[in-house]
Amino acid sequence: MLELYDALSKKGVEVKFGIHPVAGRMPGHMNVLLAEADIPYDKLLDMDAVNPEFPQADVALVIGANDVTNPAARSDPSSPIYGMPILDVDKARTVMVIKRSMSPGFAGIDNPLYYLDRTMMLFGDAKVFVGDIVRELGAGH
Amino acid sequence: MSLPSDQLIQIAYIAAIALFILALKWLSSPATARHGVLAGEVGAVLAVAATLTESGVIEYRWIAVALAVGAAIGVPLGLVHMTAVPQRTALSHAFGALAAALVGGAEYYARLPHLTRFEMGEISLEVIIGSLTLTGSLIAAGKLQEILPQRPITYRGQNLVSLLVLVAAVAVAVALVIRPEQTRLFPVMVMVALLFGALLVTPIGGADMPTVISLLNSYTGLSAALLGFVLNSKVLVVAGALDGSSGFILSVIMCKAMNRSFSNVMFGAFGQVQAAAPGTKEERTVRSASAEEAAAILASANTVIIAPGYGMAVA
Repeated sequence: MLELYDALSKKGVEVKFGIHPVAGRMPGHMNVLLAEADIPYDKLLDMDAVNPEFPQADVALVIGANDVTNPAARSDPSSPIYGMPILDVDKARTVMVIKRSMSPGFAGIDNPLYYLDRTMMLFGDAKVFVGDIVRELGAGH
Repeated sequence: MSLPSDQLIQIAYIAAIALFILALKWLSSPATARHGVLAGEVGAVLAVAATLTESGVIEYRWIAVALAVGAAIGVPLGLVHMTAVPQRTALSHAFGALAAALVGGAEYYARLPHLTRFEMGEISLEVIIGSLTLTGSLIAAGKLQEILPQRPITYRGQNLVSLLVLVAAVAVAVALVIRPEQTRLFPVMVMVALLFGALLVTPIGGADMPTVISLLNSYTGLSAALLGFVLNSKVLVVAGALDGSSGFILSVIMCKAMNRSFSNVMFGAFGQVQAAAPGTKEERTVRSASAEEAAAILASANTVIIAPGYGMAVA
């Protein structure tokens, strides 16, 4: 994770982390996980702080998150998670989702985010895939 | 010694309480969280040490054995991977609740002939909460560890059945308060409370387990506080109250983050709904890409926001 952050920063890309309150299962859980990976604290943004930034972002990279990025929570009143605050990743210019398969997430709900034209699905193990991206970024030098 | 040891012990308790409160305060920010953990640890050691020096302690050998067993279980629990912390927390609550229920039971049998009704009420409430938290936490941990099915297990009239079991537990407790010498009723109360704990958590889906765990955390705190009243221990009352209220606040924060009401989490059997719409499973197109393409786009971007989730944590 830190390697991806470093590789992108080196290329002059501004990287931030948008953290949903229940990401990683408990409030603050994800912050601790990222802090353990040596990501600087000031790059970790709360949901309320990061949501206005998505429309200006070139890429929203979703890694292993599902329900907290599901736009159905905003638009589909019949969805079981309708009304739940989410990260507005679908407002970024390009959305990339690293995911093992199309299977539904923790709450067992299909995610319309994956069918958007702007969305690229990157199927594979998150760790392997991030490693591949880092290698490609390095090769482009 | 200038101060009688009793007073020293009381001072140690007050210091421990102050440390617990500071720990919670410091834990609220990542920058000071490490201090918070340390303060909590020092506070706990102080409270345990003060309790051990109290004059009521007669035999140290069994306490040493208990400490060794506790450490043997606790150390490997503390070394689990960060992603397994929710279920580990649930297990800790189960142990805390077990301890509270056992002490409550011991107090009941030890004081039996001269138990006042008020004391009996305290003990009953404490043992019920402790027992239901024990089974509830074990099931929560099992669901998070995926030993048990994550999907909510439901049947018709479930909430009614659970409610009846709770009513039964309370009824037995009331009977015990009226006639504390009815020793046969005590194990019955424990069994019914254990059953209720299991019934309470099985219908709740895996996605809601963290909320349930912090609620169970607040139950553990509550039973510890009640135990503090039973044992006349101020430090236990305060620590239990802090634990109880912080656990409750955490549950409420999580419910807000998911825009769900508390009762919806507890009784809504969330996570079983997806079977309702199989008709919409049409073949929608998904664009997939390789690492090279992704890297190319990422490299030409100005700003990238990463939304990490549980899947990343596992990997």
